[in-house]
Formats: sequence, structure tokens, C-alpha cells
Amino acid sequence: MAETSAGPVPYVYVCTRMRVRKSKLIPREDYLRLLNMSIPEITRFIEETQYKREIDELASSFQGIDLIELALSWNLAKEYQSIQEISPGILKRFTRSYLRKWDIQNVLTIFRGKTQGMKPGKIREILVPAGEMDRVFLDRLVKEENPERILEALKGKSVYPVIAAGFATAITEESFAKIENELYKEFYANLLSEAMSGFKGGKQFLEYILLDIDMMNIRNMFRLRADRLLEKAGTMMIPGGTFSIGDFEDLIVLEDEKDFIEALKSKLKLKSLLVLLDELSSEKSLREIEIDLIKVQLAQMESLSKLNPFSIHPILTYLEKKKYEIFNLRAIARGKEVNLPTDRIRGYLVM
Amino acid sequence: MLTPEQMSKVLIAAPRDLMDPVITELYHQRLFHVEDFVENDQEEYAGYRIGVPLEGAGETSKELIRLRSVTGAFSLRADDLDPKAKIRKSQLAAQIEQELPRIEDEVEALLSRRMALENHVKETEQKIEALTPFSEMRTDLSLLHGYKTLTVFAGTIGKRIDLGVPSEEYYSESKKGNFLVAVVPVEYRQDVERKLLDAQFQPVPVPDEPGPAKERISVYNVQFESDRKDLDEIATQIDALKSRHSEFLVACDELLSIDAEKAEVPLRFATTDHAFIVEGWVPTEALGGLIDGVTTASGGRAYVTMLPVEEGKDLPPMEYHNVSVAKPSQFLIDLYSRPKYTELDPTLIVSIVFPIFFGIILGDVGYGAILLAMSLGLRKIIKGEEGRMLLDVLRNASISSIIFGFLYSEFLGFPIPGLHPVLPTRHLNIGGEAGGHGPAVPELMLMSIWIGIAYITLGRILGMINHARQDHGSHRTKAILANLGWILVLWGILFMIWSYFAMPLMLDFTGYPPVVAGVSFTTVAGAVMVVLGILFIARDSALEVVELPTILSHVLSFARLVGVGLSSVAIAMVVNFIAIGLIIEPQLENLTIFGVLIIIVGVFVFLLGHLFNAILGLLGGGLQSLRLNYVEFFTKFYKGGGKKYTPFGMIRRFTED
Amino acid sequence: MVGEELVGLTPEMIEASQAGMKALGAGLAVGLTGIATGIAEMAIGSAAVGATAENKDVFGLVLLLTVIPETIVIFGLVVSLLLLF
Repeated sequence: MAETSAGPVPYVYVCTRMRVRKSKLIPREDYLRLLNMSIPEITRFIEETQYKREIDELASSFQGIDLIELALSWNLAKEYQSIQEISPGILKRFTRSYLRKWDIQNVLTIFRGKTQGMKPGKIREILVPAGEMDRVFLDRLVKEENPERILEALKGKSVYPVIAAGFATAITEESFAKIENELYKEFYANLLSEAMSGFKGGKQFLEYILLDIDMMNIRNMFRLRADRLLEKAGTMMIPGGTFSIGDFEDLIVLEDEKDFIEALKSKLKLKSLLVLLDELSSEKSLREIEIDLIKVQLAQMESLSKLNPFSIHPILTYLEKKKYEIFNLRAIARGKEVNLPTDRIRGYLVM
Repeated sequence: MLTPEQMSKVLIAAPRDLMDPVITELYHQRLFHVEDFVENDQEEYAGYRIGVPLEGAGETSKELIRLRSVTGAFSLRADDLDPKAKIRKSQLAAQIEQELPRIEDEVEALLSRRMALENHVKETEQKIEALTPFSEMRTDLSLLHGYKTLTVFAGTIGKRIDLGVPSEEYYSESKKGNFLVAVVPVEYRQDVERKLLDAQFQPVPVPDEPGPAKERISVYNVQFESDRKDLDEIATQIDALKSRHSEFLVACDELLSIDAEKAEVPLRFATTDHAFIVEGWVPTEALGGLIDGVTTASGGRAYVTMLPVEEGKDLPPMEYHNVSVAKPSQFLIDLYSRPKYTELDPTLIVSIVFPIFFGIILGDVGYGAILLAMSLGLRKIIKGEEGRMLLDVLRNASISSIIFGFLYSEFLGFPIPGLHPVLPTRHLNIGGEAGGHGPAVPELMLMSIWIGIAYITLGRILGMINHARQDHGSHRTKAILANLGWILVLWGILFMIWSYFAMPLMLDFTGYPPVVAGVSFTTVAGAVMVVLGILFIARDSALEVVELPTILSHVLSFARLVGVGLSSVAIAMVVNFIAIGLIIEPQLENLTIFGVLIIIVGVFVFLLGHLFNAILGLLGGGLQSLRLNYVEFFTKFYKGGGKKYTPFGMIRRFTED
Repeated sequence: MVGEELVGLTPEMIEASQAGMKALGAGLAVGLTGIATGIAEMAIGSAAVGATAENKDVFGLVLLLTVIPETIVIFGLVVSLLLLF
């Protein structure tokens, strides 16, 4: 297959580009300054960095928070699309598969937005057309009148079978959580089988997917425990990682926080994660714990990409870091819009 | 000379209501390099927070965003414009109020129409794409929707199968895949679904359209064309607006950017509710002026003082301080890395040595003249400070190339008649006039090796000075001695070689009588130097000893001065031989009309070949000379990584106060 | 036997074959080192193009980094020049 024959040279090319792009991400000091700015100033600030094209293009039709939100989404999508274009051979395939995650997220956002009666414009702002479905297609979905029409339009897309299977229940229960969970399960199962199908470089991809699954499961455990949603929790787990369904259900029902942390630690090997769990005090809110987990994951990805400088890792690391830059900017902008105090907004940032 | 502009650390503290006048004064002076305040656990800054922008910053930013969406649509860049006349600030401010919104409205209207059209185009494209599979079907598409008792299946399928239920079907085969539309009663739905799945059925959505697909496609094609035409129309209108307003818009951008920069600088200050503090750097020469200026602007209420520089903790920004001849070479140093404030600035040395190396490699009067003309001609096209500096470097290099051309006696590869070369000859035996004894390669080699020895020794001496300036305690002595050690090893090896081999251009020690065990005095001295040198190096860092072979490779690396140069001469002579010896001369002996044509071809070959070789020589000579400086010279003493001195303020190009 | 083959050679022929061998050696020195340089520059070059695509300012620096392995072929060139002259 031609895809697998890409030698080291295109890898070096793409991974260098990713490293340069990574170095252009907004540093911590700038976030601290952004926190003290008003929305137009933030917009102008990012207009002077990597978001120039989107802001310039959209400023004629939008303003204020809408302008920022839309520019961020467009920029993220553009960035992701361009990475898919320049990745060589098998890395392109891996990246593309990984970015399907955004299809899941976009489709669910549309379904949820539609059933909750959000305005199409608002839904459009938070869609990130980075996966298989492009902006125009998503726009069409947003314009459809009801969920049934959206489902019809999704025919032929990879997410269609799972959604179609759970659609009737979701509509009656007014919750897409089950569909979401099933989609993610299928998504990760696909990734795993692709990583394990013997392509060169699949090993590194697998390493990353396993990390992602574990972190996702740990995050879910904390969430489920916080919400006391303990029944049938096993169905919420994504299989394939360190935890088995049995582990997951056993861990999640442990009453005492300390016992839970200890039991969790006994299952894990990643050092930075163990350190984090050790230092975890009970005062931390769920939000703070989640941010700490994200930080651990990013740090681990960073060290993986140092270990394998010319593999899928630098690409994925950049994808994730860029995603959190967008999250941060969005958090600041939304916080400013509703006049949250600076310190509160700061708590939402991954720096 | 080899040191940067001296900097002083300054602290300004003032009541908060003085922020505006102090900022205006600092901006006006354009001397103060602001040290960004970072919120952390510094004791002396307990209770201080990052400041908030001045009032009006939001408004300015809003204006700028609008303005830049217009300049962005024009793809207008300030660097591409030459300012004709500066516009006065007060006049411009009035225009910004009245004229700017009008232009912006006009452009925005065009842009949003363009965006709508572009979206429409894309949508139309997708609709056409969705309709294409149905194009051969004559059925009205609206008939495929909205049944309670019927289910419609549409999609691609591996091969036609018998559904086994009452149905109405449409089937077509094509290269892209077989396409099936089937309408079946709703009660058979699951049955059919299963059968279709087995036949690799991929469903596609049925377009929500009135009429048969083919008809709809042609409708959309018409729309598509008219949209395209409208888009072209908008593009011409935008171009017209651009040529009319570009200068005004750039001036507005400059004015508003200045306002924004001023309004946002408090984000780099440390503030409390009542006061603010800012630290920064000022060239020591200008210190008095800055203090006076700020004191006057604040009516004596601001506290401005010079702070002592804490070594190791404070890193002053670096601004070059060079004689004007050396200034263009700062570009070459910045390309590598800006020197640290405490480090020797090698600009002056590079500004002398780079052209010399370039000349040694490309020593040819003809090529030198071509490049000189190029460097002068390009000044009209290349603008901006860096481009100018690069052209100046090129100019100096090409002058050096001409001088060395005379020393080598070379003009486009020919010897200059009657001029005997001062330097060893580089002429090769190419073509018919083979004879002579060819280039004096050994002499040239030894010449280049001497240059290498000298330059590397200089590098090490500078290394000793740098360590003496920057380091402290026992490490300082060790580091200085290690650099001395490298010099000792290099010269020790040379002493030993000279004791055994006599070479032209080199010192000859072979004549000395043996003193110990048949070994001469100079050999012993060389051996002692090598051993002592290695000891010095190892004392600083034992690992460095592994690097010893680099002495040899770095010195030999200077042989590129000859190698690259000779290859350039060789190409020149081959071009001459082909163009003149093989194409033109045979025709001249017996001139025919056809021969004239061939002579023209020969001239063409001659020009093209030399142009090609001049560009190759520019790249080869430039890059290799630069590399000798960066790799062989800088690694001996130079670290770089200094902070650039960027004073708060902007050079106004289109506006004035 | 080698000696027997050499019997028929005149001194001129031996000289000519020596010169030929020198030229061959010189050619090999440049050719092989050229290949080695090419291989070494391959990865640097692609990284350089990648970096320039993202940030045009580094063009000069990466161009320079790309030519660093050129030392190899220059050593080859020097050897061949010394062989020939």
C-alpha cells in the first residue's frame, strides 16, 4: 500500500512543523494578561497572533463574543484540516481517524441544541468542523427542522448506525448520553483495531490511545462519583484500557475517598499520575481535579513525543494542546461576557 | 567595540492617576525597555497585581478589529507602502470619526455579500453532489418523501438483489457503483434492511427537492454560474476601493495601534489600588534624559530611580553598539542568535572576516562586479531594515570578491592579461590550452589551513575573555585554562608536525638537532604542550576530551575556502570552453549565416552559464563563509541567547503628533 | 602472473595507467562523499523546509543548518584535488 511506504523524511517534515506550531501557542504569561482584558481587547490580541485570518474575515459580519467564539472554532477546524493535509502516509490515516472524535461531538451538539431549542447561530458557533463532516454539511444539519430530518441527512456517515440504533430511546428519554457513550466506545474500538492492525507506527498510536482511554475512564469515575451515579456505571466505561469493567464498577462504589484513591493507584503505573493522586486533597473541586488530570495527560503526551520525535505523537500532542488553547480562550471570553471575577475564570484554564 | 550598549536598570513608581502622563512620556521617548511584571511570590511585590488597561482600550480595540477586517480583505500591508507624507494626528483623528466608518461600512457590505455568496456556492455544490446519483432517475424527487405506509431506501449497493417483497425499484449501474432506490411497504422494512445490509448497501440521503434530479441539477448549475459572476464583480469593486484608500487606512491602523499599545502597557506593570510600579532598562547614556522627562511629565510626583544590577539574576536586554561599517553584519549575528549582554559581541570581527572569506572563495572580478550590481539594483526592490542590511553585507562581500579577483588574476574564469597573480594561482587545465602546471593546490591548501589555525586560535582567546567576564570562582579559572588548553593542543600538534615535515608556507623545524632520544627540542616542546593542554581541558570537563579530534576537523574544514573556490573556477572555465572553444571559435574560422546563428547560441550559453555560476558562487561563497564563522568560530566562545532591546514606543511612518 | 602481464608495458603506458587510477580515485572521493552528504542532508533538509513553512524568519538559519554536512563532500573534494595536482 502506498500509504505505508512514507519514509522518515516526510515524518521529519511534519513533526518539525508541529513543533514550530506548538512553540507559537499562547504562553502562560499571556493568559494572565488576557484575563485582565475586555472582550474587544482579547479579540484584537489574538488577531495579532495566529487568529488573524479568521478574525479579519469574520469581523465584518460578527462582533463581541460571537466573533471570538466563531473565530476560535474556525481556526481550530482550519488547523486540524491543514494537519490532515500535510501528514504523510499512515500518519494521515491515524490523524483522520482520531479527529472523527469531532464528528461525534458536533453531531451531539446539534442534536442537543436542537432539542433544547437553541438558535442555529449559537449552535454553529461551537461546532468545530474538524472531522469527516465539513462546515457546509454541518450547516445543513443545523438548518434541518427536527431531529428526524437530521438523522436522515446523516445517512451514509460513519456515526449513522449507532445513532439510528439508539435514536428512538434518546428522543423519548430526552437524553443523548447513551448514544454519546456508545459512539465513544465504537470510536475507541475502531482506533484500537486500526492501531493494532500492523501498520508501521501503530505501536506509538496505540500507546497514545491507551493513555487517552485510561484518562477518560478516570475522569468519568470522578464525575460519576461526584454525581452519585453509581448504578450500571459499567456501561459508561470505555473498554480496551487498563481497567476492566469489573475494576471500574468495584472502584466506583468505594465509599471512602481515600480508599478509592488507593485502589485507583494500585491499578496505575504512570508516575506523574500517581504523584497527582498522592497530592490530591479532598478540598479540590471536580473541575480542578479534571484540569489536573488534563495537565498530567498533556505532560505525558509531551514526554511521549520527546521519546518518539518522528511519529504520530508530536502531531497528537499539538492537536490536544491547540484544543486546550481554544478552550482557554473560550473560557476567558465567556467568563468576561458574564462578568465573572478574574480568579474564577482562572480556575477554568489549562495552563 | 566588542561590547554592547551599556544598560541601566530603572524603576518608576507613581500614584495611579499619573499612569497616563507617564506612559505618554515613555512612549514618546522610545527608550524604556519594559520588564514584564509576572505575578509570583516575589517578596517586594506582595500585594501587587498585573495592571488593567487604560480606559478607552476596549473602544480602540473595537475600532482596530473593524479596520483590520478591511485591511485584511484588501491584503494590505504597511511594509509594502512607501509613506508619501505624514498625516497629522489631530487631522487624522477627525477623519477616523467621520470617514473611516463610511469606508468600513462600504467594504463590510461587500464582504458580507461575498461571504454569503461563497457559502451559497458551496451549498449549491453539495446539493449538486447529493443529486448526482439520482440524475438518471426521472421520478420527481418529492415523491420519495413523506409516506406513512411506505419506506424509501436509496443508496449504493454491491450488486442487484431480489428484495422478495412487493416493491417499486429503480436501479442503475455505473463505474462509481451501482445505485438503488426502492420503495417498499413499511411493514417489510426490517426484512429489507437486513437483506440490503448483506448486499453491502450504503444508504444516501434523499434530497428534499421538487422535480426530477436532472432538472434540479441544471437549475443549480445556473445559480452556480451567476454566483461566480457576482463574486468576480465584488472582487473588482474591492480592488477599486483598495487603491483609493490604502494609504489612509494604513495611517489609521498606525494611529490606533499606537493608542492600543499605550492603553495596554499597564498589563505589564505591577499595580495596587493606588499606585503602580514598573521596572525596565534604559541605555545608560540616555538615563538622565529619561529621569528628567518622567519627572517633568508627572509634575515631580513620580519616583524614578536607578536600581543596582544584580548579577546572575538580572539579564539586561542587548542592543548593538558598533561602528557604522560593522552595522550590516548585525544581521548575520541575529541570524545565529543575539549576544547575551555580558558576552563579547563578535559583529565587528565577522564584518571583517566574512567578506574576506567570501573573496577567497569567489575571487573573481567579473562575478564580483555582477554581484555588486545586483546588491545595488535590488535596493530599489527590497525594503525593510533587514533586507537593507543583507544587501549591505552582499555589497561588502562583492567588493572583497573584486579585490581578490585581482589578487588571483581572474575575470569570469579567464586570467587577466598581463596581471600576474599575487596569490597562488587557481587556473585549471581545462579545454584546448591544456598546459601550464595547473592550480597550486598544495599552496592554496596550506594558506587556508593557516587561516583556520589563526581564526580558531582567536576564537579560543575570545573564549578565555568571555569566561573571565562571565564566570566566578574556581569555575572561572578552570574554564579559562581549558580554552588555553585547546590552544596548546592545537599548536603542540603543529610543532610536532613541523619537526618532521618541511612544507611550503609553514614553519620548518626539521633542521633542529635531536636533544633527547633522537627527538628534537621542538618535538619535545610540542608533546609537552599537547599533554598540558589535555590536562587543562580534562580538569574543566573530562567529557570534553572526546572532542579532541574536532581540532583536526575544524582546521581542515577551512580547506573549503579552496575547495569551493576551485569548483567555482572550474565551472567558469568549463563554461568558457564550451561557449567559446567548442561553439563560437570553430564558426569564426569559416563564417556562414548559419554560423552566425550558432555564435548567438554560443553567446547565450556563455551568459547563461556565467549567470548560473554567479548565483551558485553567491550561495556557496556566502553560506560556506557564514558556516565557518558559525560552526568553526562561534562554537569556541559564543553562546548567544540574549534578550533583544525593544524600547516601548513605535517608529511612526505614516502619522505625526 | 602479474609480472608476466607487466612485461608488455612500456613506461608511458604505466604512467598513463597511474594517471588513470588517480583520476578514478579522485572521482570516487568526490562521488562517494557526495552521496554521503546527500543522505545526511536529507533529514535536515526536510526539517528545514518544515520549519520555514511555519516561520519564514528562520529561512537563513535553516539554510545554513542544511549545508553543515557539506563538510563531508568538501573533504572528498580536497582529497581529490590533492590527488590530481
